[in-house]
Amino acid sequence: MGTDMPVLQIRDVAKEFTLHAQDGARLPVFENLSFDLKPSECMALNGPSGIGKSTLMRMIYGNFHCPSGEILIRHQGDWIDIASAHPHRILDIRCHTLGYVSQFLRVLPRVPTLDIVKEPALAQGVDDDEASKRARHLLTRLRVPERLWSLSPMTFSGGEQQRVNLARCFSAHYPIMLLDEPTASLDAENRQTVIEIISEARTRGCAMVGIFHDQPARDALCTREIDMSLCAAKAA
Amino acid sequence: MMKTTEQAYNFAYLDEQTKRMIRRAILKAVAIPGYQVPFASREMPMPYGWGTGGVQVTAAVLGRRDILKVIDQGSDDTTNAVSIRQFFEKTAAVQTTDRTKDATLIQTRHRIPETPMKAGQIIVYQVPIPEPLRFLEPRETETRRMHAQEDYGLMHVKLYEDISRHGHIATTYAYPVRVNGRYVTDPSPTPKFDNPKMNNCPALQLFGAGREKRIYAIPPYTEVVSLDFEDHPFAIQQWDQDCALCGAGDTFLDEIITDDRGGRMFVCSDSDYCRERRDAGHEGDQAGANSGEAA
Amino acid sequence: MSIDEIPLLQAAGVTKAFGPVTGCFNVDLDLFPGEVLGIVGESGSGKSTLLRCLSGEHELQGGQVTYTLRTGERADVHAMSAPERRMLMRTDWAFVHQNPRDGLRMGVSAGGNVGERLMAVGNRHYGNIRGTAIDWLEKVEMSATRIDDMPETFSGGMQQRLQIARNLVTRPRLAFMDEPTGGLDVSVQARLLDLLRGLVSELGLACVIVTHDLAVARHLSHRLMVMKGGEVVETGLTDQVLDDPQHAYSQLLVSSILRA
Repeated sequence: MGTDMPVLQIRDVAKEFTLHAQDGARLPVFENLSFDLKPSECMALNGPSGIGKSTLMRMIYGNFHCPSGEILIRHQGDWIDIASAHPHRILDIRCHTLGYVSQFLRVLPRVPTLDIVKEPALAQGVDDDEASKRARHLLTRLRVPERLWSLSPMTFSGGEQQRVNLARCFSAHYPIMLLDEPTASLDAENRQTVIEIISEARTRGCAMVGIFHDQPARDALCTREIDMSLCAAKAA
Repeated sequence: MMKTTEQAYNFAYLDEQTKRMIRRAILKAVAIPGYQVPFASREMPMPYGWGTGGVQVTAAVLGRRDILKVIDQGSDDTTNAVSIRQFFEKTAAVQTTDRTKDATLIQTRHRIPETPMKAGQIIVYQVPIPEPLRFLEPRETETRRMHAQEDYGLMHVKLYEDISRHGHIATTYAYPVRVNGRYVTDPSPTPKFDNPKMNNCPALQLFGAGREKRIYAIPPYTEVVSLDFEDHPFAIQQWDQDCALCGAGDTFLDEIITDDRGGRMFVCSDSDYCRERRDAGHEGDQAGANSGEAA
Repeated sequence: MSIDEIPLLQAAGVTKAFGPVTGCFNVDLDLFPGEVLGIVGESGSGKSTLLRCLSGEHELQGGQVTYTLRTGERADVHAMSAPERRMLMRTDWAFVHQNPRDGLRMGVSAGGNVGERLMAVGNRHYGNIRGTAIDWLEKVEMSATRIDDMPETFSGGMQQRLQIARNLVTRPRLAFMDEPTGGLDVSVQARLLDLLRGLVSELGLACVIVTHDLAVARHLSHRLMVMKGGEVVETGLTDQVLDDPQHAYSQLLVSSILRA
């Protein structure tokens, strides 16, 4: 697969919410959104708060419904449209092809940090030793103290949880990654580390879509940007 | 006087239509070894729990030239054995005996004779509860389904429970067997000591449960295997003593209290077998003490 | 996991009525190995009925349920003979009831309960059966010292763990669960969910879980099906149905969860 072949194609995507509990009130978000993404590219989603940046990310991930348009992902040699794919297929895509760094760690209580971080790699079929190695390496790099690795992240600070989240998301290797404020709630030191980690992934060929309020991060990582206010939906 | 009484009964008490019904059930039972066949059990002149099932089966297969033996716990002389034998003497005027080797038809409660059975003999067992799974699964609908689908895990669960509780399989009588590799069957409350005699037996074995209205059968030379575990194999009871009267070391022994000072002795439960041995000259160490008085 | 594999369990047009009352109507679903499908809905939604249609317990008025056997052959669950379905229930399938008393033999010890399936499929070595039972009690985080205790002596949560061990001992590929955490205290529920999640992942178990509790569904299931009045109103990835519900009823259900 040549690096000039896109791995993600957004085609005329629009999003609108319908609130049935409020007499079917409709909240349009954006429309006519299109772009392609190639390996090693990092596309920044720009625009004011509420414009739909997170919404778009979630739609690409299959977490939000896509009512019109296509979201095409290159998965194991085929193009799959997330908007209409069978959930079973999307689960497979999330496992092998598409990673998502959210702002919040979905904490599973009572599961130790190390296990949480190893899990995506294990799910990809990486063997236990290798998964452990990667997990430890990332946790160390992100300055999560070793004494915390056997504890559940439930009681960690926001910053610590976010670093565990990042370790988890980067312990597995994905061709495409979605990054929603990856450096939020991190201090300068850790922010720099995260930028390095993301850079390395990009060098490996990972294609990325990101939301960065942090200007230095955006400057360091992004190769392209899109202003989503250009696609804002007209009020209904 | 006797003439009048004879004329008051059909041969062997039951009317011919009833015998026909029972014979049909018996044929079906013989055709499906170990399978419990429902039958229209009649009201008999003795209450349920006193052998009505066995009596009905005997009545259905008895013929004028049969020689009948009736035993209860191995003895011909207990009240029940005597009653049932007299019942058939009165209603069928058949010849009776207490010698196993002379009998063509043996009705028994809770024991199989020590003298090996011969081809051509029929042994009829009195059965209280025909369903081996009854105490584990009270629902008739479920036990029927288990038998139909050969779903016998529960039976082994019972044996497992025994071992976990007592260190060994604690069932000593009515020990479940698998007949012809298919149905799990209750051999009736015979001691497990007798289970091996059922296997590949030359005689026809018939089982009657009057209250529960079931008949089952094991045709001659059928495989009968007692259930067990590989690491807890089936084993029969053993005694340290021999029979005090005849010296037999391989029979099922009854313990008899002889006095009020704790005196006891062990004698063959099968009174006929014991007497045969004594007649042949065998002696136990108390051969003179009690002449022919088994329980 | 190959994308082109055939579903482990597939339902097409499943319809069940109790006289004039609709149990469930025209339900389609497919479930792949290792996937957990949650079926949520309120009382009377038809979710329990659907579960029992899928497991072959209820006769159908319409539609078909197909299961892929270990041999790869696809079998119609309702066309199977009773012994075949029973064998399936003892080996390849599990059914976890809401009330553990419905899924346990109360008159049999914990070890006997766990070992029963093994004995039912021909295991005849006491030592091995007992050893396997001990392993499974430990797997469901129960002390092995309780192997000879009767289920009556266990708490509700432990009885439920015992039921799970009893069902999973033959390493089934598909589990049906009817409100497995219903009726348990919250902390007990939480630990049970953890256990289930771990076992599902370790055994690669596919599951159909019926629950009225969306938190349980979010915790355990990959995919979700929302039922109302016997019909499926929405289906999709769990996170999608919970985060971006499309149907009016789904939105109502989701908004009804009290957020901390």
